[in-house]
Amino acid sequence: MIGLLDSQLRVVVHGGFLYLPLLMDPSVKGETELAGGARAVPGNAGGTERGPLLRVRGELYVRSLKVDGLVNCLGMLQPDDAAPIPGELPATPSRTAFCGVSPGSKLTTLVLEVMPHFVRRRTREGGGRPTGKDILEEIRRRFDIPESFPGDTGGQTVVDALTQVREETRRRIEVLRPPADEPIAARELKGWLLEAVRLGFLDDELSRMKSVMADMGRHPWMNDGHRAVLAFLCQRGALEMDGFGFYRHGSADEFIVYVHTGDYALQDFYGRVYRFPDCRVAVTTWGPPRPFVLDRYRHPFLESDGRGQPICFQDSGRWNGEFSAGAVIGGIEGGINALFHGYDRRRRNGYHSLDPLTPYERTIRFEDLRIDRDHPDIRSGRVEIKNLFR
Amino acid sequence: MGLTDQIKRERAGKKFRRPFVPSLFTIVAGIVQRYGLDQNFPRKLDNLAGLPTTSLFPTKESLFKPPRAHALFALVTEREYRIAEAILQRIRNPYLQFARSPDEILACNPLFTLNPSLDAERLLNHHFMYLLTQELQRRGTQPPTA
Repeated sequence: MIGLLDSQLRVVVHGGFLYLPLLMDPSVKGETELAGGARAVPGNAGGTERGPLLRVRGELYVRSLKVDGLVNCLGMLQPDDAAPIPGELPATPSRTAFCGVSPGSKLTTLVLEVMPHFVRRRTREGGGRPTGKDILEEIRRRFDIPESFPGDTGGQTVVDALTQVREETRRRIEVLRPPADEPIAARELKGWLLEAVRLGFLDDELSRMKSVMADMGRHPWMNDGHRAVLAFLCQRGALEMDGFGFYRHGSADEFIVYVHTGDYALQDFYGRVYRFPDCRVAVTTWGPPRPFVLDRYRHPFLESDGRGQPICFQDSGRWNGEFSAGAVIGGIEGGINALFHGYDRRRRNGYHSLDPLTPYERTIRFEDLRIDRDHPDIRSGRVEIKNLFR
Repeated sequence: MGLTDQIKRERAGKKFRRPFVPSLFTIVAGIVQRYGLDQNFPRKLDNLAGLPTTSLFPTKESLFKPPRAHALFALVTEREYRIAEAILQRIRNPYLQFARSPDEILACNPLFTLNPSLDAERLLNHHFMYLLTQELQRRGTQPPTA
């Protein structure tokens, strides 16, 4: 198929299908004769059609691909020809740049819904949970973002430009449209198909832009300054503020979201205290929001001491939800709670225990984390012993 | 040979792989495709009532047996199919399956007429025109001039 569209092979477009010359051997010839007589094609002077066969000007053609399917897959079949099409369109915000401005994007959900849950105490002391608007203004103040950011292009301008290009493309398609039921060289057909691909791409972009603009109505309070903050974050792809952070994974609207635990302490069966350093508990915005640690870390609930280890949970099937602000918050809080309060010093649960019963089972050791119970940080409350419930 | 021996022989034969033999259509269609033969070619066969004329005989240097032209299975356009069928209708002898070029197709009928008992080894390894020349020399005759 890839070589076909660069060849001089004569093909026919009929009834939404691409017909190729029928290749023959005696068995194929027998089957075409078994198919019997043919009926006339309406509106076609010299063509007759029978089942998948079409006779045009004395030559037999066989039905092959649907033209719509060919248009949909041309990007994969002819990447060298189809790939430059997006670049030839008028300057529009790229998908990555625009995803941050759309209220439906994951970035916006993280900033406006997840972030207020984790930074509330530090943003508004004693004032309850901040709103998304408060968060955006705080980010703008800290990062000194200008009122209009280059990534924040006017949506209606883009829609107008795209509509104009779409009309031009549609006119070109009409000019290049192959004559119905007439044999044409496959190479001529390729130009028409590429224009159809361009039209499909423009339709996708237009519908995306329109949905973005419709989403804007969900946050009527959002002004240009707020959108500039989102565009800034979208271009930057990462943010860390007051122990909460995220960074983009790949080039799409996918992120790794994390929260710092800060230093904390756990006690073992004998009441000895172990001071655990800060680590980042994270979830991803793709796949199930199962919490894991981003950094190298040791803990009774982690299997080894590497990076990216999932935190041990008794009920691992609980992380099956799709992306939502609630799922991200639940995942991170579940992970932090497991690290803080999951270890029972009497049961010695988890992969490892702080004080194992036999020396032979020690693959991960915690002795170096042990501190005195009268350590100044413990006494002052800067480092809290989290498993004091038994 | 008794029935038992016959059954044993048949069963023994089934155990071995038999070489793939392409159909006559595949051979002829392969030559039509490779050499781009047109609809005039079958008419040449009609015109050759007896022996090919000397003008059709290739030079000595070109009398090598061409390599096999056909694929395992032939799928050709309708025009090529009609040419191949026309050739098959005009040549009905076992030498055709050893033909590798249009010249050999032309020599097929006269060669079979002169000597229908050539073994497969010679037909596989020698150009039909060379074999035809040899047969004519053996009989002391010359091909007719154009």
